[in-house]
Amino acid sequence: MLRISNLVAAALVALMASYAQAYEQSIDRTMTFRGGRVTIDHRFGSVEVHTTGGNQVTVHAVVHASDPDFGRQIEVITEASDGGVSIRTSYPEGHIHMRNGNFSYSVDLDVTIPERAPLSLKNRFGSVEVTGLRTASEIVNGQGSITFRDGSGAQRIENSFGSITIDNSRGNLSVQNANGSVHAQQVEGNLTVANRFASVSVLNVSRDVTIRNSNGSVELRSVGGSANVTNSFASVNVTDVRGSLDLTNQNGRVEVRDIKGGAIIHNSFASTSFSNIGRDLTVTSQNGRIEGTKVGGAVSVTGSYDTIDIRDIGGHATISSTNGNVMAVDINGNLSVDTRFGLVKAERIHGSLDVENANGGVTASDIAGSARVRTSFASVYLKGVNGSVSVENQNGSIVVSGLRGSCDNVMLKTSFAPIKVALPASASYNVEARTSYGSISTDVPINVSKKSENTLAGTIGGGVCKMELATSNGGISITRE
Amino acid sequence: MNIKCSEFDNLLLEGDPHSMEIAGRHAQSCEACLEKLTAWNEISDTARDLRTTWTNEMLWPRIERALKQERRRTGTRYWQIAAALILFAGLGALVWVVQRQSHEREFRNVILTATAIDDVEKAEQAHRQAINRLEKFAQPKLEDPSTPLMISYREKLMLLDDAIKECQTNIDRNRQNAHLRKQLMAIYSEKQRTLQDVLREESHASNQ
Repeated sequence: MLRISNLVAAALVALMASYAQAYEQSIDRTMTFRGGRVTIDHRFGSVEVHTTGGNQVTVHAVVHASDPDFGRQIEVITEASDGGVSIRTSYPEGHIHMRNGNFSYSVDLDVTIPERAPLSLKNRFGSVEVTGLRTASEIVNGQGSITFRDGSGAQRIENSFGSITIDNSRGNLSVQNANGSVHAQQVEGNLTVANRFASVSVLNVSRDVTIRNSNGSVELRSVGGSANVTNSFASVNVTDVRGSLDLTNQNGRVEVRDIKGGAIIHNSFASTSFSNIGRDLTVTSQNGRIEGTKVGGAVSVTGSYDTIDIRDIGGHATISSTNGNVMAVDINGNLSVDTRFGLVKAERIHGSLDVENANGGVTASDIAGSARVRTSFASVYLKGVNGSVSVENQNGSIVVSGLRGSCDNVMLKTSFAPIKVALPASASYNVEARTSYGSISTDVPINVSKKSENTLAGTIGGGVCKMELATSNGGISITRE
Repeated sequence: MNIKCSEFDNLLLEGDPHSMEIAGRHAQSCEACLEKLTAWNEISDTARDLRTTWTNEMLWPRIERALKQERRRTGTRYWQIAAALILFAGLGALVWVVQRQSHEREFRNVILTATAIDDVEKAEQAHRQAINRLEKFAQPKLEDPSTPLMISYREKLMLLDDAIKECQTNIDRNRQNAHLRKQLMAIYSEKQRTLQDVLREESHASNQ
């Protein structure tokens, strides 16, 4: 028994001896807040701020030092006056140089302040955690994280090289960071975030949100007001905005969903996708695929060097592109496409169709209004046009069928390629067809008024509307549906 | 001492020699009390004759055994108390040790030990070497950035270099501060990742 007791005692003594090398000291202060601000100026250690209903400011500081002599010289200076309460840590600078830095130190502060006291907090090289503020405050940190919880009043939070986390803040909030992530959720007020080189994620903001970032992803969800997002070289994902959205990105993927208002999106060198936009949408993106569905209003899309694919649009759609295919399906208004070097495909257009293309084919079906197509060096296929048809092509064939209107003008012109037209039984046209180095054939009864090797003029049915078919170096064929 | 007849019974009940002497004196002058005294003495004599004694050979050994057991039990109880005290002291010591160790761990989370510092400095050195290697390859691209992305990377690297410098200046004066060391490692990692991104951008055709 004695032997065991001796061993335990020896172990305890050894442990105590090893622990005695470190210096740790608690400092406690209590002051009365008589107005003004609570100012905390700290370095090298964490700061935790809590709030209380009374007027007392309590400070609990724990000094850690590898050297007891040095540790004893560390001070937590507190002052209380009518202008406010100030709390400051002071390290013996001269001593550091004398001892050549062969020891280390840190002070952790735990401060409780009245909830209605404005706070001005500055820290460096340590984390900051603030809970329960009820008035406008400013929190600045460098090289350490910031966590802000359950606060109200306008807040300004700034950091560099450390994350910022905000949870449940009532009042306008301004957040600035550099090279540290920003995560904010449950903000009742306007939110402004400026960041660089790190991610920003924002969830549930009751009013407007403005985010400026670069080289870091942005994720924004559930915004009660409008949203304005600028980013570059990283992705942007925006979901559920009750107001409008203005988004500018460069070199980063953009995904936008469920916007109640209108949306303006600028992007480049990366894909852009959208769905469920309540009002008008404008998308400009260079060198990146653009695709989206369900837009309540009109859509204007400008792109280049990649595909544009839009579906289920409530209003007019205007698409401008170069070197990219265009696909437009279920457009409730007119569709206008201006592109180069890409294929245009349009289906179920409830208004008219206007395509200006070059070096790219055009295929369109189910057009409720008229169809006007200009292109070159590629084919044009039109099927199921309800209004007039006008196609001007060069070095590409034209095929038109399923003309639904009882009488609408048809004008088809091309060169070095054939023209084929299929007419319904009720067709009534005054036909004029001409070609050079090609034949004209028809299986539709025509009351011929003029015919030569390369021309044919006459009437089909009542001959009410005008049909002009012209090509060079290609045949013309008029058939029955 | 003269007494009344009514007090005679009490003297008999008292029964001590002095009371009996007084009762005898009174009986000499009172016939009724004499008769009462004579009857009392007879009863007392008869009762004395009825008393008996006996010897039991088992009794004393049993008593001795019981006494020994009692002594043994007392000894065991002392041991039990001692053991409980030792156990209590041991548990207390264990709690104290655990508490101290946890306290020490907490302290070490704030102020690193010399061994931990050696490991950290080795890791920092490895980072610095990796960064130097990457910088050699990335430098030409960064010196003459041809795209906005490269300009952005250069700006980020400058920012990271400033942060590294600030950390190092403070580490020179606060060498074992765990937060400073963690921060520096994080910035080194970030710089390494950024340089790798620069080289990746270099390797594929960028449209920026």
